[in-house]
Amino acid sequence: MRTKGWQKVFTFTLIQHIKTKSFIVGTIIVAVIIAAICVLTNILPVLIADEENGGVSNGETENLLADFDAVYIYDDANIFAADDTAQLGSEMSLADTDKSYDELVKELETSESVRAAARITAMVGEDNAVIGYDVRTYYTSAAGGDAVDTLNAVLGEMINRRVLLNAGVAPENYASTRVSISTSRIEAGSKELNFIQSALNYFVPIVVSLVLFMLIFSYGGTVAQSIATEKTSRVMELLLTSVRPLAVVIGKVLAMGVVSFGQFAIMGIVGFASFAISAPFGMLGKAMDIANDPAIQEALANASQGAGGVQSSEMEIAAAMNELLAGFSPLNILLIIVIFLLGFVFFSLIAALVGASISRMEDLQQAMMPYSLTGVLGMYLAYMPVFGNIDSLDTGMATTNPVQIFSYFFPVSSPFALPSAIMLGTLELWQSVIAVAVLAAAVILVAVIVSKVYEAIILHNGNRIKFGDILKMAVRK
Amino acid sequence: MGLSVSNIVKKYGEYTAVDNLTFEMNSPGVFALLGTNGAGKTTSIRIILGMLAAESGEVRWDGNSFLAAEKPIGYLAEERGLYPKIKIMDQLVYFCTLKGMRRQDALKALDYWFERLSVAEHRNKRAEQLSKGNQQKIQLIAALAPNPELIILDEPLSGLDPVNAELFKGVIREEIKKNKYIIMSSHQMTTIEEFCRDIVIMNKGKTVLQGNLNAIKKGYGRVKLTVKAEGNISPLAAECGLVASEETPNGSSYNVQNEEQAHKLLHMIIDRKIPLIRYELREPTLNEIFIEKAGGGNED
Repeated sequence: MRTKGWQKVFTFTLIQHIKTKSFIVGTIIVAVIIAAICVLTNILPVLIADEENGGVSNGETENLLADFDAVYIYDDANIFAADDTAQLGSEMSLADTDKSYDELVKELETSESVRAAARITAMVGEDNAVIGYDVRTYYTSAAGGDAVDTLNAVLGEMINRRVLLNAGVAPENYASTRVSISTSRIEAGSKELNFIQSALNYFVPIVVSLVLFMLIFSYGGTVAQSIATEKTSRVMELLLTSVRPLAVVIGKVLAMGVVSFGQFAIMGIVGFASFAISAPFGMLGKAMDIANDPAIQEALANASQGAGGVQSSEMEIAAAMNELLAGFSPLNILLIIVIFLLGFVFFSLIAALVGASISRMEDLQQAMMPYSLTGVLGMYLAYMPVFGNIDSLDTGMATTNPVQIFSYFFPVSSPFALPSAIMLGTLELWQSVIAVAVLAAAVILVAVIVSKVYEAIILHNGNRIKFGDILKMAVRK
Repeated sequence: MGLSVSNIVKKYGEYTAVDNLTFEMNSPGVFALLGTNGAGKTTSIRIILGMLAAESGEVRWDGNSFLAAEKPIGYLAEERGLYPKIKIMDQLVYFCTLKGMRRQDALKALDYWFERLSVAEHRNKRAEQLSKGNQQKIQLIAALAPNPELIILDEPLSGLDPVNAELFKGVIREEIKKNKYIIMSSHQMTTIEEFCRDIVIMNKGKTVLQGNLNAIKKGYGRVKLTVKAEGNISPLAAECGLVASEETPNGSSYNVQNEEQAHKLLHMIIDRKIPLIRYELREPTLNEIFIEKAGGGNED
């Protein structure tokens, strides 16, 4: 009977909230931002790659070196043979000058033409032996940075080539000395992930914990605000002639939970739709094409069955896509929804107590302090272990530290940390179930405290009731 | 039958806010719950409404215990409260449906009350756009629209201009005619005298006077004498053992022991041929009784 009538409070709170301008405008803005982020993260990498590789794909050789009106090379190290610079001259406008390097650099300061002056000096060790070379290139403001980088890279390659030839390598064998070497380090016992999977493991928890924090924490704050407004404006006194205080809390918390979850769902749907619509033109479409390629899937299956070997980039993409899609299983989605709602109820009930504990709106901010500290602590526990582990991007593996594991089972942080862990398969199913059970137990505990003290504090007028007093009151009862 | 409040005790720590309050409303009409600020009226009302739990005692309706949440009670709180940013119509429909009304019935009842209290043009405005008086009318509508049998009005006329005060009084008279049980708390004793049949006066949580208002007054007898004459009557009053309790342009007021004492003074004035302008011997007003009984109250 203490909860009779909560449905009416729920309906009224829900309808009145979604009718407010701030909610409508806020939802539209958030949806637009989400759509823009999703479309841009999908399409931008492809656009950038197309721009960078545009010449190659069109069969045109874009030679940045040809952009130069004049390039001056000061070979102070005397490394180049005559035919080396002649070879360079076929790619760009090599120029001679009588000016010293410093004079030329001074001249370039005011020059409007596309020019660069590169000076090569030898670096010597203690016994006067050459241990390296330094290439320093000054260029005019009209010259593009990319062209100068290309010039430096070409000069570096030419120096390497000359060093090897001087050391006796035959010119026809030079190409075979240039091999690409990939290295990685994997801690024994940890899960081996490719770079794309590591990136997902790094960025998804960060983004998800921040989004969940914003939704759960801010809407919990709205519950406190709403109850405080009803109490301080004396509407509560009128409501309590019809329903019990617990019915008001339940109706309000659930209504704001639906609003919050609805906004969460809208963000998800808008994000999914934006990705889906932009997929054919972006990274996702290419990744899906790769993931759906039977040959790549077969190669992946062979690799997982012990064939081993280094994965190609296509296989890395396909493996990451497989893992991501597996993370969206119906069971995982159900668990994530349950965690979201439990987390929301947990924080909202605390917020409801805070809202009921004040008699003047100006006390609300101070009264919210314990609630805010709890929420921020939870968010940081979920966020910082992942954020601080940027090394995982390089090491190619998902490492978990004790704080991160703690955050999955601690009710204050688990609403922000668990969903992404479940989505990415960081936790086994039984671990997830235990974490959800711990969170549910915490929600029950808070609900018991609320049911014991809420009716007493909602009609209290006067000084703010401190959080410690509320807990003492609950223990006494 | 009706409302029965028995031996209600409510404590806040060591402080007893309500000490053994008992009264009955056996028939429809207006019952006054009086007391100074902090006497325990609002606490008593909250206990009757079921908002607060009492340490002991019980509240019954037709012999059965009840909660406000289960029975529609119309309540006009002393400290008014409306949602400032929500349309009047939306919040009144909400309040009515919380009382168990169907939406259609609520809309019909609200139409009547908007017209009755002359606020129909405000139904789609937000509460913050209304004057204080109009907000008070909306609160009265919230209390009366569900057509409750029991109505509690806490300071119903405070802050109203004379025109709107008369409008409210008219509505209260109509509710009395509809055989409603009304508990009224007010510091305006003339209003209480105008409407109330039975009263309870509380002081520091305790009941200091209780019963039918007319019977209480009769119990005091005609002990309030006011005399105005064209000469000094103080020596004559002193001869009769009377000392003026108040001197005003309307005359001198005395508290007499009995009617004979007053008549004696009248005879002396006539015998001395002092022109008499006013001679009034009456029962004490409720205001005078209240000050006598609740004068020791304190503020909360």
